[in-house]
Amino acid sequence: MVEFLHVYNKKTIMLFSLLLVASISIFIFGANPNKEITLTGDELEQYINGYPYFLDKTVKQGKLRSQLKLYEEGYAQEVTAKSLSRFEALIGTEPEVSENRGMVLFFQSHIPELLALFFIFHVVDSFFEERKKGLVHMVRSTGKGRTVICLYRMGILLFTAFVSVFLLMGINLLGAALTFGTGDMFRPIQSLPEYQKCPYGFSVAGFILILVLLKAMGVFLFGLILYVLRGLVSDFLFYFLMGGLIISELLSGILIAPVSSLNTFKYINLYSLIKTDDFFNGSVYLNIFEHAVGALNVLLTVTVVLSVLLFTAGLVIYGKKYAARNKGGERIGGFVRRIKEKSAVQRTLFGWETYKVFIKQGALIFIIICLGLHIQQSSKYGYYYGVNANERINYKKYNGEIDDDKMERAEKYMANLKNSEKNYMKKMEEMETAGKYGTDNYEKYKEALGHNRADQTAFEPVLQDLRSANEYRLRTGNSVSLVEPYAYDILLNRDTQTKDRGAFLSIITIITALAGVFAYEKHTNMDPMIMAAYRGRKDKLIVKPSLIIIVSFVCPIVFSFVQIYLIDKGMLFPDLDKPVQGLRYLNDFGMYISIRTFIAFILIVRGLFGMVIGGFTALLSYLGNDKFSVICRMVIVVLIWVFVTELIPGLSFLNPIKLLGYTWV
Amino acid sequence: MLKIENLVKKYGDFTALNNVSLTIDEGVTGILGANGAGKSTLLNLITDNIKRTSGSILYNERDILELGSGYRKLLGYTPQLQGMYEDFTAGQFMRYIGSLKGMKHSVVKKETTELLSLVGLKEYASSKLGGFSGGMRQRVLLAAAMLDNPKILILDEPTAGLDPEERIRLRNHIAELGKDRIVIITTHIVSDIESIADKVVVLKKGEIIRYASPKKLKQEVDEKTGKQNSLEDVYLYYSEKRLG
Repeated sequence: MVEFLHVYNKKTIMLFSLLLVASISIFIFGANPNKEITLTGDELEQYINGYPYFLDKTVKQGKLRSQLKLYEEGYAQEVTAKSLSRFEALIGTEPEVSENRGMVLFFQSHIPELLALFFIFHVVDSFFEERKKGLVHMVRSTGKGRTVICLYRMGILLFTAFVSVFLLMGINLLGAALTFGTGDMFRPIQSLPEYQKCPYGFSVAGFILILVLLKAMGVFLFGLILYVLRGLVSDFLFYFLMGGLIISELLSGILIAPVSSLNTFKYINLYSLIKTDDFFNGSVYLNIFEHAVGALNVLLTVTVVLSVLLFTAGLVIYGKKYAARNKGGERIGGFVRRIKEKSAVQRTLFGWETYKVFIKQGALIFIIICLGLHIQQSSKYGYYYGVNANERINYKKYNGEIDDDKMERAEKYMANLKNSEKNYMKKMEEMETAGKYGTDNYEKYKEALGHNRADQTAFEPVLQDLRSANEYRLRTGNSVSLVEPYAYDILLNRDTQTKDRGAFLSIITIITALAGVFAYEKHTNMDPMIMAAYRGRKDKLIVKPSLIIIVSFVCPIVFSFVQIYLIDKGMLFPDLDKPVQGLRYLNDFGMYISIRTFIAFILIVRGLFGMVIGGFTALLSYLGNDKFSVICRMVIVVLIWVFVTELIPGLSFLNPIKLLGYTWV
Repeated sequence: MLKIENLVKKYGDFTALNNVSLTIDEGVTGILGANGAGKSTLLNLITDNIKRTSGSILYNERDILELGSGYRKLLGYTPQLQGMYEDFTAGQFMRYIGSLKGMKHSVVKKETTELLSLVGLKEYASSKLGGFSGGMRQRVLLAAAMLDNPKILILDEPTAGLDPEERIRLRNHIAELGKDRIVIITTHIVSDIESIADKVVVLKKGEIIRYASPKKLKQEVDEKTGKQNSLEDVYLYYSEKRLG
């Protein structure tokens, strides 16, 4: 119990709470109702109604293959037979129409497992605090300091794996319930079109339970590997070997094809166990001496055996009489450091502060992770989705500076279209009255009316934009041009999800980068020495604040650039040098500037708001004692800020995510 | 010359230093006192790390507050708590302190190597401070304090954690340093300063009990007690009494 409380101290509880918040936040951010997530409406009904036929067809095909004996006795024949029996067992399964979007997003999200792996890494790291603090000999010299404490720790790993996966997935399930709803949890899993080929008769709830168990086993095995390896080798070698293991697992799981002769490495793999995707969308069998053996069964067997072996190895390593340190890794690390020392370049104070924040306090890692997440999850704007092609043509036709002549032509064109519409409708009415409904002529008029209305639809937005820009021109006397709005529409109006995610991640980056800027000195007791030095106060009053300003100003701009770059790459921002008032929702913008300058303006404003976040973080760092507690406090501050501004009517514009995603619109 | 006049430091109702006055010339000045006597408080005031309640500290007749960063340019300081960045190597730490001291880039690397050699840690320049023993950390801190050849060297418990051979070596080195600069050492181990201090300050409960050379202190107590006393005996004598 003491060891449990030692590991699950305030810091660990706070970290896990943050991970829970992160998990549900990322889930909710990704739940975009405008995006096509899964089949809905009529298409879903079609799928549900068609499922029995799919099952019937699959069984019939399987029976035919078995009867025709297309394959020799052996693996392929066994696969056919076993798959057939699985699908036969599903006959009678009745999938139901229900709200599936939440559950599809839930099953597709792998953030909970990643966070659980990170958390178990932290737990294993906390076992080695005694090594870092020079207490390892003291602990090992006690009665329970070897084998017994090892047993407790492995028990803690088991507890951590199951509880963390359960809670992290649980909070995402809550996210699913809050966003789209979960639907009937006892409907068959095949109710989700993504699991049409699942050969197991689980309910959705049962499937979730199976996933939790599998992922928890994977996380536990990962924790055991970390714990045993850490006790066996030096820190340097440990990180090297773990890096190698993770990369090889990832590459095997991702790159090896399901039908490859090496597919055993693909499926019997920690990555596959934790991800679980491969095992529930079709039957997966391995060729074990020409026998078809279920891949999941093999994986589970290997997991259990490996766990037992690692468990035993752990007891031996930590229980042995003398703990010898492996110097191999230290030699390598020391060699690298000696080379670095010889070629060391002296830094300025600003250089040292940057080095401390980005390298020693790990800010660079957070920046890479957050930026990587943002890039990976950002929409790809490779096509003009939903854009009327004729509307685009009209924008190009009326592109350029607006003048009276252009307005006259546009109004005349629309007036002609409206007149034609009236005429066609009148003609059709007359023909209906005369009993000529459905004749060739009637159909011609109907078709012409259809084209007319399509032309109006394609011209209406262009005319609206022309009118509003023209109104600005007449009011102010400033020249203004019609600008094709699609790319700007996405940037400023439509893709709020990417914008908000960028703002959210930039807030996280600012907080994690700057939390230790002052607290690090207090935590390491370096303050008196620094303050007594010639430039110590300059460091505190000028150098650190400069770094704070730069980091917090630049961060939101960099994250914004991801979206700007992707939009520009896919669609190209047109007419960047034209006045910004050419865009309808910016007609009232007070400054007469180009669109390019306007984009720079909103980026600068985002940067300034970023500085507010950075300022708060720095203040908490100044008042705090260690980086971790500052991060926790700042996250709480931001969460309260978000909730208050969203709950109080009229204050939502002060939401920090909206501030760092400022668009003026 | 460092002149301290009527220095007072209070923390709320508690008086940590009470009207301390002394003049410190070039040479080694040892400050003796039990735990909580006010030694570190006095040093923190001399290094301007804490705000004085009243009184003044003058360097060459100018208040150190007036001198500002110019005064701190002359300081070398090792604090009592061995504060350092554990994931820095010894070389990195020295170069960082060199930056804080405003040293030229070309000079820092050279002095780093020289000073680490001086304290016997040259081959550990690329080793992380987190793996250093207490004595090694103390030596790194001393080397860092000596960067840029400070005119005033303030060492708070510099021999803590050192083995006997290291302590003797350090004492000899401090004695050398004291020939052309002000060196102030605090300690509660009397033998550390007996052979090297030019003057000794005995502090008790925030007040100076006695300030004189070790020879004079011993003579005085010898006369009072009628026997030959070591500096340790002198310290114990004055810890029990005050000269009225």
